[in-house]
Amino acid sequence: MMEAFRFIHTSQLRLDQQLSGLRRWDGLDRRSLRDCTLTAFSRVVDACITHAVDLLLITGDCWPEDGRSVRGAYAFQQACQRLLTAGIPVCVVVDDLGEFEEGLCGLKLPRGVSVLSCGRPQEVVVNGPQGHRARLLTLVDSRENSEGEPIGPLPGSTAEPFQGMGIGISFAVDRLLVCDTPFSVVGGAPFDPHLDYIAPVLSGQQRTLILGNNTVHSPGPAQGLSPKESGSCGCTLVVWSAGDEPVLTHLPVAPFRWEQWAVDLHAQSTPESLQREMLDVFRKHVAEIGDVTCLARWNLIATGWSERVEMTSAALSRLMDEVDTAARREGGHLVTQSVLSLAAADVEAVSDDSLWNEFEKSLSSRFQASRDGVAGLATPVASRLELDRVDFEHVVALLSPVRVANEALAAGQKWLVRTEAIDA
Amino acid sequence: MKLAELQIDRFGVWQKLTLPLNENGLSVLYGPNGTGKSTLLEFVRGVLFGYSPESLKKLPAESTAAGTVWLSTHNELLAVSRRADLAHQLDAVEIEGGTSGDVSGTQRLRELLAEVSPELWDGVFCVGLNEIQELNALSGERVSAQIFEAAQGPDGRRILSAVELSRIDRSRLGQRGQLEADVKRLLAERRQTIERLRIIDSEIRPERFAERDRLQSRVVDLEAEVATHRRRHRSQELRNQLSGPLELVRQRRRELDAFSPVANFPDQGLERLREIDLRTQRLTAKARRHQALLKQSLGFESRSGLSQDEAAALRGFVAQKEWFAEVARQRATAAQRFCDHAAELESLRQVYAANWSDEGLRGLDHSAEAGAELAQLGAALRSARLRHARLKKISRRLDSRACELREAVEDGRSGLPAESIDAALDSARSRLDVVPQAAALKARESTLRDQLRELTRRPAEADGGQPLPAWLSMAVAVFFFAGIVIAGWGFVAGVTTSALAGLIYVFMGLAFGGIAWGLKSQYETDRADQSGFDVKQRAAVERELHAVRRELQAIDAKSVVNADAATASTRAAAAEVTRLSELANRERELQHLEQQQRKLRQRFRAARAELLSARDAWLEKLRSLGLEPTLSVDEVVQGWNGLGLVARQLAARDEIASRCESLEQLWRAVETDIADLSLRTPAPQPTALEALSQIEDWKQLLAVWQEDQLELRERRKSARKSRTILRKLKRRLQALATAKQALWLRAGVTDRTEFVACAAKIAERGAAARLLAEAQAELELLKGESAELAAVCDSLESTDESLSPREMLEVATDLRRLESELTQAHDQLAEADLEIEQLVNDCSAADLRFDLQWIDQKLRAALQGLVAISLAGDVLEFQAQVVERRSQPATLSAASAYLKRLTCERYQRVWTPLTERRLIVEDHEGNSHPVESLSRGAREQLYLAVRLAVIDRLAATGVELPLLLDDVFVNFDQPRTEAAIDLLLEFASRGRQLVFVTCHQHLVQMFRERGVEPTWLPGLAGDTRPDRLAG
Repeated sequence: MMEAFRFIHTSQLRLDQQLSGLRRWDGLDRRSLRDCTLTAFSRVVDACITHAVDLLLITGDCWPEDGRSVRGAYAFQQACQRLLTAGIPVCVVVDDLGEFEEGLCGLKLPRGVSVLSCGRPQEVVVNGPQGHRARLLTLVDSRENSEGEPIGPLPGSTAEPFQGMGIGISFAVDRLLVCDTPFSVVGGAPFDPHLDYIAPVLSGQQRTLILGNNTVHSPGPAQGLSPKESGSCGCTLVVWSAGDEPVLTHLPVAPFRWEQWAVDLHAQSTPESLQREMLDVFRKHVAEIGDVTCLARWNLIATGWSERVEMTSAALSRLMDEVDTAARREGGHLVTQSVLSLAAADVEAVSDDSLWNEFEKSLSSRFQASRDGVAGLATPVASRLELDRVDFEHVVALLSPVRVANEALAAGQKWLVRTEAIDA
Repeated sequence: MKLAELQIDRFGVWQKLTLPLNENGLSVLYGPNGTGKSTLLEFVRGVLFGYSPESLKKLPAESTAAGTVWLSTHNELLAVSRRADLAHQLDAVEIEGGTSGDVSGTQRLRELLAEVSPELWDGVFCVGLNEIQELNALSGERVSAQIFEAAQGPDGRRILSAVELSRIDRSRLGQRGQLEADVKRLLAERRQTIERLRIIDSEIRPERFAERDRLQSRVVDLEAEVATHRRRHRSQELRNQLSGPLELVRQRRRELDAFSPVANFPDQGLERLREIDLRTQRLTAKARRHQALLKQSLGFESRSGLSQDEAAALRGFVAQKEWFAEVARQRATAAQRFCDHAAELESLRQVYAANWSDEGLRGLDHSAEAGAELAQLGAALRSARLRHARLKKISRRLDSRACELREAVEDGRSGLPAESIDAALDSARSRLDVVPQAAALKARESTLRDQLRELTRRPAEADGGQPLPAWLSMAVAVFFFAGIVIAGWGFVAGVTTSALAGLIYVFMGLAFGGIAWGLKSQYETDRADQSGFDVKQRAAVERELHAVRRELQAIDAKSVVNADAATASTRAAAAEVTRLSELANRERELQHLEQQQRKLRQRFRAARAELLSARDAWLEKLRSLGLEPTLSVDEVVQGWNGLGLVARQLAARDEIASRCESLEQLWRAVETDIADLSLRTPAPQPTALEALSQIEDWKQLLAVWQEDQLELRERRKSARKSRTILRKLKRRLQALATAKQALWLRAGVTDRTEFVACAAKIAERGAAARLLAEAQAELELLKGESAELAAVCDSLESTDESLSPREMLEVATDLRRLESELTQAHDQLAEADLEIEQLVNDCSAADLRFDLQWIDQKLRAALQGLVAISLAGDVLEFQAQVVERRSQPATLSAASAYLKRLTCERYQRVWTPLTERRLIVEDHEGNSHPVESLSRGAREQLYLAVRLAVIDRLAATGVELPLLLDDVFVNFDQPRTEAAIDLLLEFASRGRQLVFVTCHQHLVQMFRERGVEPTWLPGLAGDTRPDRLAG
């Protein structure tokens, strides 16, 4: 018989939202890609049933940011029904209740699903199937200092002791300023000691802070949807025994993971050696993370100029294909998105090249001189393309200054050094 | 770096060529067309940078291009060799000489070439006719651009080349227009996708789900109502179905109730009673059978007629039959032995104990101890006798010897003084010891007297003029005469022959004389010395003689006159000593004998006492044994042995007799017992009372008795068993009787007849109950067919109500109506479900979102490249302008100077407008001319001037390489050619190396006039030297 209160905390479901930033998806099933968020949430529900938790806590955005999805709402409703059938209550904490209900597209959630929102203090007590109890409190707002930085304690909690786990839902914890020592709070007293766990609603990254008697944890998105959400995405199993700190266990549920890995490129590198190194890195990560499809971005950290490694887009494409194929042959799931060469002085041949140095310097000056950043650099192109404002804004949003700079450098390298070192 | 020499193993038309070059200055190589001049320049380029595939293809099959270029650099001479062929993809370069360390050949070569690329070599350091022709083939701005590029130097050329590439890429990048179209298309697609998403989103009607829920609720309600009406209708039908069986059940119940209940009648009483009776009969018959068996078991008669005791007694005798037989055997054996012993006893008695009675013999202690004691006493007596006799004999012998010694001693002592013999012996010994000493002293005295006489006589002789000894005289004489002779001869020789020789001889003679005289003198001197010595010695001898005589006096050996007398005294002393010694020995022996005699007498007395004691003991023993007293031990012993033998024989006989008696008694007892027993047993009396045969008969009787016992045992066992069974049967019969009584009692009757009658009544009632049960079962069966029937039946049973037909019709009508409404609601719900299912399974929005992301990705990729390349291109253009502005002035200034020389000051300056990539040439009148307007020759001269200027600029940066020119003056007129040659010479005089190849003799002549002797290349027409490759 379990003695502890157990729940799973998942965040940012964004059901039915699509992956962004995919550059290649050869070998992937389009349907799997399309349904990755639904799959991830289904696995969250499976995890709840497998671990026989007392509660499923959902924070963050449940719906896509680019519109409603009946599929997503239906999947959410069915999942809640499944959990309630298993006797596991569900608590959803949303920023905007209206937006959440709109996202349900008219579907009704089963009885037993609690929906909490900001705006006013709310409290709900849940009883798990094992007889354990927890009280969830929405923490309305944090007191902030003059610079808008939150300071504790967070009002909204109660001083009355409760025989069970106290879970606080905060909408402002993600704005905590973390100093050099990772567990410090800008000013103020520690948080409410009656709370054992604080779940931030809006947080795109997985992180855990211990503040006073409280554990502040954001599980990160259930499914990383863009390269910015790289790493392990999933949910968190929280096990709390009275009087102890909660024990957090990350449960990876995302069918796809964005990863960014690095291998060295040196003078003795060959395409075969690069491939081997990349496969080694992949295998090592697979051993750690298990069988999940990795959408990988490779950084070649060039410490020397290799005559045998072509940096043309065709050669790099071939390399990507070969690495992915080799990984699949071993039973792994790897889809390389890009191979980017990164180095401060990656080409010996041009390290003493005054022309190249001048070119780099001039390019850097252009970036620094552009007041609007990449928008300024893109303006000439946008003018030529006669883009309207909306399109122009969208174009600028798509551009990455780093990648533009790298491509410009690669082009300059190609013209000046007679080689193609281009981000494929 | 300078070219010192070319060695071609095989390249192009050349084979095994060695061509030295002028390292510091101008080398002119002359050869007509087809000689291979350009090939030489190609060879140099090939060795330095790698043979071109075109040049390798010109080689015959399986041939390898190989050669060496000797380079001179920093006081080192290096041989750069390269071999290459296409077939084996071989391209190997080796560098020999110099200090290269661990650097590879390729790397070393690059260092030597100052990292100059092949393109730069071609563009700067090697000007060929092909290039000139290409230049002339250009027109318009291309000419200017070409020369302009040449003027930029390596960096400038790179920048310009890069700018050109960037322009190509920028235009190639989808031909910009294509890319822009793609971007626009993607943007349009994006808008469309967003629009479609919006439409899909707008089509999402939340009320659909509510409508569905409502329909579902209505369906649920209708279903409930329909179910209720159906139940009612069904109920009616079921009632009709159940009425018949229900009525039958009621009737059977009534019939059953008509029977009065019989309480407490045992179940199946009649059957049980019958069973009890049957069992009782069976048990009774069984008891009778066992009773008969019992009787049969008890009737038994014994055949042997023996009782238990009698049989036991007989058994004992039978068991001891062997023992009885043994006793009989021993009895017979003992009797025989007794007879044997008695006979032997009698014969021994006759021999050894004729006078002895049996009692006496029995009383005789003939034990071994007694015999041993007797023998011991006999032996003691015998030994005492022997000892006594021996001692006596010894005593006699000692006495006779003592007498003899006594007499001898007496005789010996007669001549001696009163002193003892020992004392006399000691004095005789002392005398004996002194005699030799006295004799020695005497001898010494004699010797000393002789010495003294000699010593006394010697001085007299010495004083008396003792003549020399003969030998000495002879020696002296010889020497003397020899001396005289020699001296004389010397004199003569000196006078006659040689004075010196004579003198020598004289001196020799004198020497001999001297020797003689010396001998004599020496002898006399010795003699005098000897005389003195003799005096001293004489005094010593006298002293010693005096001492000896004193000793002699002390010894008192006056009788000793000489040695012979000492010997006789010694002999006499010795004899005396011997005699006295013998006498002393005898005296001692006598004393010893006397002592022995004393001891012997003591022993003799003891032996005699012992003898007497042994004799007394012996006689006593004989008396105790009853034997005749005698001192003959042997007789007694022998007689004793015989008596012992007889006594033992008698004892054995007595023992056997005793044994016979006991066996006889035992046998008589056995016979008596057997006789007694035979009288007591019922067996027929034996015909002969022979014990053993009697026992054999009893054995057979016992066998019969044992058989009887076995049979009796069996019968008894059978009787026991029968009794046990009879007891059990009796108990069971009693139990059965009790059970029957209980049945009657329970049924309330007193006899069997009443019981049977009661049972009949019960059977009838049972039949009625069975009929009721059958009817109920049938009803239950109907109820079991459906739960509805069961419910209705229960209801009917409880209420017994019935419905009217009108009510039944109303129910049916309502039911039909409700079923129709339910069907409609189901259809509507199915439609709603289908719609919702389509909605939830509609992936179009997700697909559109996916497509949207993909469009964005493609947009990103396209725009990123576009923006990046545009940006990079702009930066490169700007950089090119900077380089141009920075590097052009010096180069163009130098090129202007060279141009002025080459054109004989026709053109003074070359310059370029700012931001324009073209050259302007200014003539001596200050007019500016674009390059494309110049004549061919002027262009070439401008080109050459720019090349020379670039070489100067490179040299300033440390890049010094030879300049190879291949007939670049073809379009120069005479003055300009001469000016060019002068310029080249001046150029070379600054330490630069130039190699000029030409096929024009007039140029050769011009060079020759200026002191440059050209090198004629081998292989001219008519040249048949074998080192040329055949064409």
